[in-house]
Amino acid sequence: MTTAHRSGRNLPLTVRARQGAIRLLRAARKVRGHRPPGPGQSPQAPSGWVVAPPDFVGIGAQKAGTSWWSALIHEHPDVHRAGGQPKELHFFDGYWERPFTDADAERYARYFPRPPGGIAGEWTPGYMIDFWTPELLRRAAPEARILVLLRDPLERYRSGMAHTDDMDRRHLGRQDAMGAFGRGLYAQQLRRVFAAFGREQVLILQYERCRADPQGELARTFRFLGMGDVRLDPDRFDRPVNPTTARKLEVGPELRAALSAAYAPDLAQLATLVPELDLDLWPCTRGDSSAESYH
Amino acid sequence: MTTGRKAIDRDGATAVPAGWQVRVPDFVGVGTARSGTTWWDELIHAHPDVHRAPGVPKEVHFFDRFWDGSWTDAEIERYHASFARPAGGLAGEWTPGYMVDFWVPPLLRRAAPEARLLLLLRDPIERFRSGLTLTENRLTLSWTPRAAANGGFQRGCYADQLERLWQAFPREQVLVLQYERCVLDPRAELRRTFTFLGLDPAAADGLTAPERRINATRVTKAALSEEQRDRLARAFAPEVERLSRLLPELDLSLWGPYGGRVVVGGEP
Repeated sequence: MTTAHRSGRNLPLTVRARQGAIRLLRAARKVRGHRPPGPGQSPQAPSGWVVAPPDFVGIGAQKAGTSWWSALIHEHPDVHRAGGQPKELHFFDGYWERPFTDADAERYARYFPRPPGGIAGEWTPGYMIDFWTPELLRRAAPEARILVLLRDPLERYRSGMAHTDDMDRRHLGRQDAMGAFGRGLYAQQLRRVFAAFGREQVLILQYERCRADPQGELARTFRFLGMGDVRLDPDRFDRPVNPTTARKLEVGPELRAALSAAYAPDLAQLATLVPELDLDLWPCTRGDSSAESYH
Repeated sequence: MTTGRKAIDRDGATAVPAGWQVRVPDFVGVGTARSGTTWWDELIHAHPDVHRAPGVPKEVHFFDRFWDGSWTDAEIERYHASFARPAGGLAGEWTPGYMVDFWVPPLLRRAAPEARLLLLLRDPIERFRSGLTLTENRLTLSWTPRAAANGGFQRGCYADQLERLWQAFPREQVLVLQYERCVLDPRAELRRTFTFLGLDPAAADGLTAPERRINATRVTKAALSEEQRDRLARAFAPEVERLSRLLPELDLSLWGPYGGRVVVGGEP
C-alpha cells in the first residue's frame, strides 16, 4: 500500500469521510475493550533466566481447544512463562503490512525468558491462518517445535460462528460464514506450514483424541517437546479453559450436508498430507452427510 | 449482505416484457471477483440471442443470504424470476462471489441443474492486489488489514473452490477462462464462450471493440510491495500447482511468477 493511498490524499471526499467514520468506530471499539493485534511489552527476565527464541509455538487451530491444551502444557514443571504473559502473543498479526527484519526476530525472542534448562513457548491459533506467518515464524524461531491442534471442521465452524445474543446473530452474515469456513481448510494451511518447517518439527494433534485420552496425548506432547512425562491430577483435564460461552450456530441437516460436502476435498488432501490423523473421529467426514444427498 | 434480497424482490416484481418467458438461467458466472467478469458479461450480452430483462443486474447475488442454511425449495425457485427472455433466447447472470461461498454450489445445482457455469480466473496475485482497492474503501467495522489480506488470499485459492464446484456440477458443464488470455485475444475466447453456451460463435467477429474495459477500478489503486508480492507468490504456489493439475490447459506463462512475467493489458 502506498503512503499516498494510506493517507488518503488522492481519494474523493466521500471516501475520506467514510474512512474517518471507520477510524472513529474502530477507536470506540478499542475503548470498549477490544485488544488490538500484537503483543504487549516484552517481560522483564527474572535474574538468571535466559532469553532465546521459543522452544515451541502453537499455531492452530482456532476454536479447537488450544487454550485447554496450552494450559495443560504449562502444568509441566519445566515449562515457564514470565509473569503476565498471555497464551497468545499475536506477534506476527501485523506483519502483512510491515517488512520483517532480523530486529523483529530478536524482539520475538524477548518474550521467552526461562530459567536454564527450562522451556518456553506460546500458542496463537491464528498463525496457521495468516498466510504470511509460517515463513516469518521460521525466521524468528527456526528450531521451535510447532504444535497444531485440529478438530472436526464442522464443530470448529459452529464454534467460530458462535454469537452472544440474537442481536449478534442478526449481524452474522456471508463474510463471517466465509471466514469461519476458511479457517477449517486445514490442508490448505498445513501446506504452507510444511513449506516452512520440516514434518518432524510439527506435531498435529486431534482435539477429539485429546478429549478421549488426555493423559496419553499429553504424554505424546511432552515427548515431542523433549520433556519427561508428568502425571497430572485427572481433575485437571476436565477443567474448562476459555470455553465458548456464546451460543453456537445451529446447524440443520441441510447446512450440515453442505458443510460436509464443502470440506470433503480439503479433508481428502489432509488425509494424504497427515496420514496419522484418524478422520473417522470427525462426524463431518461420515457418509450420512455426503455430497450425494442433494444431487 | 442484503443487496441480493432487495434485488430479487424488485426483479420479481419487474414486468416481464410481453412474449418473454421466465425460466431457469441458461448460464451462471460463478467467479471470480476482480477478474474482468463485468467486461466479459457485457460481451456475452452483446450476443443477439442473449437477453436480460430490464432491471436485472449483472450480479443477482441470490444465494448470498443462504449462508445459515435457511433455504426451502420454494425460495430457491424464486431464483428463476431474474431470467426472462424471448422464445429461443438465453438468459443468465454472473455473481463472482458464488464460487467462494461454500453453500452455493449445491444450491445452484438445485436451482439450475442444467445451467452452464462460467469461471474467469486471473493471476491470484494481481487479483489480490485489485481486491485490496475495493476492500480498503468498505465501511465495515470488522475490517482490519489482517482480515482483508486473509480474505483476499482465500478468494485466490481457486483449486479449493473448483473442487467444491465440481462436486456439484459435471466438469463439462463448467467453462474455465483465463482473464489474461481473454485480454490477449478477446475474439477467440469469446467464440469459445459462445460455443460453450450453445450460441453461434460467429457473433464474436462482428463485435466492435471487444477490448473495451468495464468496471475498471476508479479509486486510487492499492499497490503491493515487492516483499508482499514475494510472500504471496510463495503462499499461492501450492494452490496454483494444484490448480494446474486440475486444469492442465491452464497457461501459467500468463501468471507472473508462475511462468515468466508477462505484462498484460490494463488493470481492472
